[in-house]
Amino acid sequence: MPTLQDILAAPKTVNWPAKGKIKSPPTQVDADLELSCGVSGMRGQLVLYVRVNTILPESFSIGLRLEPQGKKPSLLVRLNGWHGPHPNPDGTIIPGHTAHIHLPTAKELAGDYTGKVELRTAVELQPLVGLVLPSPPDVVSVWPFFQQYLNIAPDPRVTTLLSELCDSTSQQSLEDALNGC
Amino acid sequence: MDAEHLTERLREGFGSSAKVTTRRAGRIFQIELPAYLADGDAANIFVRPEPGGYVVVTDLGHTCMRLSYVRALTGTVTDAVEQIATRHGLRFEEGQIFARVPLQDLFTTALALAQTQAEAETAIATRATKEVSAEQFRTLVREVLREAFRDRVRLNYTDKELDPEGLYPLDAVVEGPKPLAVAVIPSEADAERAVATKFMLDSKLREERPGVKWLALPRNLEKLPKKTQARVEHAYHVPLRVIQHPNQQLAGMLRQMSVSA
Repeated sequence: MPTLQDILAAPKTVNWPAKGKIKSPPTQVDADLELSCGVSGMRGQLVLYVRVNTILPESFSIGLRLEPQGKKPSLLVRLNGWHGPHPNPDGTIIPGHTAHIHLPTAKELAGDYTGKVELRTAVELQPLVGLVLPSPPDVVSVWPFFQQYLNIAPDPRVTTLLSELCDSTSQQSLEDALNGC
Repeated sequence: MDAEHLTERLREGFGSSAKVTTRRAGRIFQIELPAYLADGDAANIFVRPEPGGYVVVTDLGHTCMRLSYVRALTGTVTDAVEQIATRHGLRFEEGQIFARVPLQDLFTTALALAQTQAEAETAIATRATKEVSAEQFRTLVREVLREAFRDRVRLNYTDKELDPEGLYPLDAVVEGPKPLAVAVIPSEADAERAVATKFMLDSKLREERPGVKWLALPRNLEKLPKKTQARVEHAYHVPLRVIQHPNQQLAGMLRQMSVSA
């Protein structure tokens, strides 16, 4: 049985087109992309989800969701744009208006990949990425870090899709980007 | 009205732990209260100033956004959000939970919004799971149909003459020399609806598309009541009694049926 660390570290590729959504309210734009991940013994589907608030695009979330067979989906990692401060269980506080990433604990990483992941602990992104993010950041600017962190193969279509989600030029261009065109 | 003024107003009720920051100068402010959701993230509370001493206290759609990380925003989910919001004296429209209130009610309304967000995340988690997977099944099967038949498939088929109100929609009609009338059946209710739809549309479809084959694609026929199973099998050809993963194999089988039905 692979551990959560095995799953996060394994090479992944994005499958196109993006998964169809039932509907979204006008306050957000969504994309769900299935990932191929060749870890032996893994059951279920990994999905890269992206959500961008249309009123405040710096409020975004990009994360990795596991959809196990016969079980409820769960989040394995989540990177957020700006919102209020985030107090960690150890008492440290991520200040408001900073991008941050919610990560599994060492115990969760070493455990079965289908185990419970709470993602209560977050880490401020700026010191991790080693480059200066725009202020406020957008989902395109954090993607290179997230892609590398999850070992997702470079795919320029993802960047195009993220740009469209932040600032879509037309419905057609967004649909093309969701289809990976 | 500015962030300082709003902060003063909040601190009358919440003390020094309340803070207001500017997100869009003069238009959108964010309230920071010591009110956190299950994962430690702060509740998302924003204020839009209105003329006449009023404010709109709103989540700007963040509650739905957070819910959507692990659930599709089905009608059941948004209905549940609306019920919870209403219980806390708030409204839910177009994805936003909000209330327009006099400035002096800012503190209590902000608290109500924080409670609504926390309750939505805990209460909706389990309630929505079953229906989400049923709707996801339908979506996935339709994607397979679209991929298999492209412009030959008409999704959400209705007959405007026989059924002007669109009460008996069929998931898909596949055109071609061997036409298919397809019902996707994720649940018992969908099964009974599919049977009624067939009886409504059958004679007209046969007349317009001679040789049409009625095909049911159930998620799991075995899980339906025995009489429902019998009604489905009497009305439809059921090539697979269980479809766990609508995928390329299903697409191949459907393509095959459309040429040799």
